[in-house]
Amino acid sequence: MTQTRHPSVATVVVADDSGLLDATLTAVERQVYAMAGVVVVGSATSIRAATRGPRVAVSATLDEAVALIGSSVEFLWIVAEGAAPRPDALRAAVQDAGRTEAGIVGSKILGGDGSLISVGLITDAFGVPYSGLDRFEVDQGQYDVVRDVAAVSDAAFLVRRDLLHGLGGADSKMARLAALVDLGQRARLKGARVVVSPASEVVRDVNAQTDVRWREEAGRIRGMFKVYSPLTLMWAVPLDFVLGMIEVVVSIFLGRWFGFDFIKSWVWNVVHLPDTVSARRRARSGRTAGDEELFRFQRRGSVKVTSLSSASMRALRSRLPGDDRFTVEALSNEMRQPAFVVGALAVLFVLLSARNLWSDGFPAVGYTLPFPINGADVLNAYAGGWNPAGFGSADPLRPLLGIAGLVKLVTLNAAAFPEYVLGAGAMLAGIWGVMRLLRSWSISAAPGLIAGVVYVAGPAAQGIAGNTHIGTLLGLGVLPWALRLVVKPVADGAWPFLSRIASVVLAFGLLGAFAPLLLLVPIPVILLYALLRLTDADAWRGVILTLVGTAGGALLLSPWIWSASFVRIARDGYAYWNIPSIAAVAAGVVIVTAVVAGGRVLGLVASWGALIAGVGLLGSRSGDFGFGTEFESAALAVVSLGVAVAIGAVAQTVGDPTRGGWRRFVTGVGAVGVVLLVVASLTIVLGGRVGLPGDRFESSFRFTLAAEGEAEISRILVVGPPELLPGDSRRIEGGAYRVVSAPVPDLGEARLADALDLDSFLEEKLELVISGDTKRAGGELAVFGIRWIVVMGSTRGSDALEPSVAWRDAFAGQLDLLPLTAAVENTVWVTDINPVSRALTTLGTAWPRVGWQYQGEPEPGRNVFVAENPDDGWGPGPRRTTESMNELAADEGRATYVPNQGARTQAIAVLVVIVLLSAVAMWGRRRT
Amino acid sequence: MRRALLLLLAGLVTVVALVQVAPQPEPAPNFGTIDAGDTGGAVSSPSTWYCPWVEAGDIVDTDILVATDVSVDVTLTLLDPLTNEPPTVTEFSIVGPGAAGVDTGSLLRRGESPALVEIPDGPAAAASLEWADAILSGDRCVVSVPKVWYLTGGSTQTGTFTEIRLFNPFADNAEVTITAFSEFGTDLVPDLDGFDVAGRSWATIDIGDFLPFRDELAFTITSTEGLVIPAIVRTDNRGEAMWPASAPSRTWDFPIVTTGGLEPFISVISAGDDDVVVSVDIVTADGLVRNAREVTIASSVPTLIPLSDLAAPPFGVRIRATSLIAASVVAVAPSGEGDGGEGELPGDGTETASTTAGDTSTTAPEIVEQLIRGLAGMGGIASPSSGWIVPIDTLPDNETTMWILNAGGEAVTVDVIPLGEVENLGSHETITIEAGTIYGVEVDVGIGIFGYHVIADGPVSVAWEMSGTRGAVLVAGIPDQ
Repeated sequence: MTQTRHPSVATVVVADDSGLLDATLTAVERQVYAMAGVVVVGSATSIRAATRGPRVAVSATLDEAVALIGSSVEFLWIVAEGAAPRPDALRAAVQDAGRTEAGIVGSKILGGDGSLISVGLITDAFGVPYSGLDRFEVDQGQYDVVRDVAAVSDAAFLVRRDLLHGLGGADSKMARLAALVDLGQRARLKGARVVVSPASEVVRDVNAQTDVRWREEAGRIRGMFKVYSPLTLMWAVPLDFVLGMIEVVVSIFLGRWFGFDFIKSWVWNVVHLPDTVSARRRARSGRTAGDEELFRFQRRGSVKVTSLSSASMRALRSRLPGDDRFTVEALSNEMRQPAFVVGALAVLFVLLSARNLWSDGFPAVGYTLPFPINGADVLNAYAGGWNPAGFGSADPLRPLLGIAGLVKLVTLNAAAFPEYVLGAGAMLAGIWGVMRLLRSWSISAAPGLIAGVVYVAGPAAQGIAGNTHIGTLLGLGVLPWALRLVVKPVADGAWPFLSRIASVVLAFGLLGAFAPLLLLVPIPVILLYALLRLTDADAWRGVILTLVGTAGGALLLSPWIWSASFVRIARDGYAYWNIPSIAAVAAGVVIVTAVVAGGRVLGLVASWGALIAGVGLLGSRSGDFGFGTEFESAALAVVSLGVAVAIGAVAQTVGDPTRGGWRRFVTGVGAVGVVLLVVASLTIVLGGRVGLPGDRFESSFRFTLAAEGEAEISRILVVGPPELLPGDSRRIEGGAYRVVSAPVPDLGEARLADALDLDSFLEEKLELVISGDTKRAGGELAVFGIRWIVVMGSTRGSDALEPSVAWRDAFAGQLDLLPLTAAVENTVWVTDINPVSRALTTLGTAWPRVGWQYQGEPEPGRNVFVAENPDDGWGPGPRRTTESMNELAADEGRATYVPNQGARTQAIAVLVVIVLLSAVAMWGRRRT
Repeated sequence: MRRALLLLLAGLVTVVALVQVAPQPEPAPNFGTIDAGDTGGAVSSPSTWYCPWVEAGDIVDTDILVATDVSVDVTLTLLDPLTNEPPTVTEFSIVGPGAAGVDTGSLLRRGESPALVEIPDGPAAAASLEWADAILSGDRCVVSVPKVWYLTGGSTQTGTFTEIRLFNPFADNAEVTITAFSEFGTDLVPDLDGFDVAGRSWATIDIGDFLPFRDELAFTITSTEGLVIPAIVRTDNRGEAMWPASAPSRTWDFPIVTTGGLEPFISVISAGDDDVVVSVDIVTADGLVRNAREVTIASSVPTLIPLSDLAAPPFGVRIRATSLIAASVVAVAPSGEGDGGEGELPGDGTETASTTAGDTSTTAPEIVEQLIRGLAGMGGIASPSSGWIVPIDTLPDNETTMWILNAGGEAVTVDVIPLGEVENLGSHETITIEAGTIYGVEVDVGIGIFGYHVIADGPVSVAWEMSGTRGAVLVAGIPDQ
């Protein structure tokens, strides 16, 4: 069918100060299709020289240009400066627009050499554009078919004027490419087609200006928020976040660093969220199509993943030696420059070692407990809220909870993913950090990898994991970075200096947040280093940086830091690391050989490693000096670091061809020790839990979910050997006990505060039980919301544990406790009393615990008894203390704790300071 | 050189670290196993008393007796023989000091129904008395629950029956091992090894089914899982007696062993693996006969020590042993008084015991009544005390006497305070009991006395006996701890 009507078209040339406007206008003027006019959009000074003739108008913005053109024009042909449309380009575009009834028609963009630059774009579900073209692919007509696409190139495209007006134009807050995709998607929501017309050829011999990467990323994310339905957003946004993080991590090993882009793009979106919501409302109002219409023009899978895979394969191919190069020399060369291989191995090791965290999260064992379900609850509690451990207290939660809450919040409260991110991330960061730290002394990547693996997974790290001190285990990932930041020389200039200070404070703060005692590790370690390198000014500058970092990092632990007692933390428990004998011998051999056979610098560094490993070992067995288990774990981190330094030195020396004679022999002996330590480290792969022991409490307490609704209103009294109880425990006549929430205590409950009134009341009741003065323990404990009693550990046969047996006997002779056979290993009773609840109204109605507060049916004029330690922060009032618990008004149907405003202010201030420090660190880094 | 020094320093630190020793394992908590030396006392705190042998049927009633020094609301729980059926619970108040008795027959009549008596304050104590026209038996209830129980005084000789009741008032299932000892030594009964007693129920084992024709029987009952409260019931054609199990002790007091003209014996068994020398002191109203009889008993062999030839009734007994023993008194109709003429009494032979007469002259037993009805038994009192809570019952046509034994070397002054549901039960009686004597306090029948509070200025032991047309019973008092 022949087109009989010629739509009116006005051309808009978008100038960009590239100096090619003249050529573009010339090409536009040669169009065989008659135009209603030409408007140049851009700053007046840049275009004045180029524009000529009465038909060329000038406008500052696209919106003004559209207004200037008037409503009689049906189409706008938007051409970018530097593009040179062929004479029939506009005609072809108009014809195809008419034939396809498309709202937006793009052109085929060619390079000056005939290569294809664009035949339209499709995207994946996350809005990442994909051209489908190979690099330097030559146009042979292979794409010459009019087809629907997600977006078109901005070099030249035709758009219906009314459509553009209806859409509100391009999103000026977005970067160029993201805005194009966004424009196409919004057009599709309104029912318009977006096609590319291959007959409309445009030559663009220069690369279009590209916006900075993070702005493109930010715009892409904003685009998703604007066009997708809530259902799609629910899976697309979290998945995109995950993919972004994967891209950051993998790209590191490809020699790129996208971490800051990632952070900035998400932060930008958070800041601009209100505006995005408004834009979303506009984009989706009056839509005639849904997400499925957008999905039609999207490719399967993730463009990012595909490109990462391709890049990885290319890197792998380039790294693998060819047949003719497979020699010792070639391998040695690989050892010296193995960035990708080393990175891949590290990632593979971490993936295998943390594989079970992906599905299950951290095992619930000892002090390692699952992250709380709701990140907002945790952050609220951390910032002056209620500490839920035991019967609760107003004591601040440890900063680790703040991190857990933050990660939970960022990952939209995903179940196991936040724990995987932290667990695997810390491991990877630890390996990488050791590699970077060792690079300070010119130890190359492969030895660094070996040292890093032993650092995060060796016997000492396994000792930390065995202690279930998850904070210290995660802190392993930060410690080498903190040391690296203070050891590395500072570049000249104010910005680099400020950036370094900010980075050090942030790193130390993070270190202390994971494990407070680790915050104190760098001072002696770096001081020792400086003493060994007495004349090295950088080393002494490192000492100053360490002091600043420690002080600044400590301040970042507000509000917790002000009520914390490091002495108490260090002395709780009994430090004794039962060092595996083979590992001890192997580590000893490695250290000695590293010191003896290393060169001048490496030998000295190895001596430093030897000394800190020795002191760490002493610390890890210092129970007789009054130190406890958390101190043991921090000391083990030091041991791990010292051994890693020595391993790096040995592995580096092994690959040094200049080392000969007896040194080579000694190094060979050391290499055997290294191999033993690496083998010992690889054993954590078997468990797939980054070395942590298997789950204990999830399986032990799962039975509490058998009766619907009971777990939310009840507590579990857990008794038995202290090492089998969750987190801290209290003692009564030599027996350990503690109270936890059902069904499984979370990380917020690991650390108990000092005993308060309700804790003392429970102790009184337990004294009654164990003295035999009551035979109705169920009734005595019901007031605390305790429904179940679990005796951890075997009480029968040769495996019977004395404390478990003692507790079993204490509860065995009770008249209102029913035995449960739900738990195979443990002895369990359920109370025969009703009602039992943590929060009970005067009418006997149980209020379940929702998040970290209580909610139920309002009972006007009545009260609710909340079995938490009495505190004036609980409300709504009037509040009074009854039987050592809170009696509150039940009018509102909820019982909440009003946060301490002072603590809250501190927490917010810390957050602001962290953002500022991050900005300074990033900005300084860019300036450097 | 610097490196060598550093390496040496690191080595020294490492050596110091390696010589550190592992911490000593923490001692296990010291609670949970309530291996009390006896069946417990009346404490100044809440207590739960277990009364295994309670029965109320068409001819039998059981009184639950509670005496207290303070005002309490008592909860009486009678278990249902049907599993998972809720128990019968009744509550009653006692204004303290006071005492009360509840006839379980007024609550229900479904035969056997062991009871729990929960008393929220103390000192207070409970006992049970089963009675009918021709039956009288009972003893104090039990408040503490050892893991290993001892029962003595059983017999399955012709015409005599012995049952063991295992009462598990708790929710946990219990598994017990019953080891039987007879004149043949340890009598193996595989069926009683790992015997299950469901939670909140009881089991009654007729020992005659497993060990027939044993003259003397004793048992240990060991809980391997859960807890039980055992009691023994011995019956013959004259009557029935029951008493609870106990833990072993080196000394045992029996403030009264004679009642209703019955012939008393002490049944003992060693709790250890060695032979034990047992000395019997006879305490009468006139004085003490120390070492009236001395018996060497072999391990794992229960022994009956006859007492009737050592003094004229009434008298009490103190048993002293060189090692831990379990002991109870059994009083049976004298030889030749049986209906069937099978008059051989247990212990006549005393085959395994060597008997040595004491240096004090003894008086031959004197049979007062021509027709003797009844069978009595009682667990011993492991240690004397200066305070006693004694739940007591009285019945028409029966005489009840509370006996106070002072086996010490000095006279003691004793306040005897009657307890009942009303205040005016008569004045407090203050008496002086000479050293090595017993003193009987006759209890008035029908005025509402259900107990006594006995306060002494020295250690004494208290028990009571009832005899009459219904038979005879011996009941131990309960020390006020």
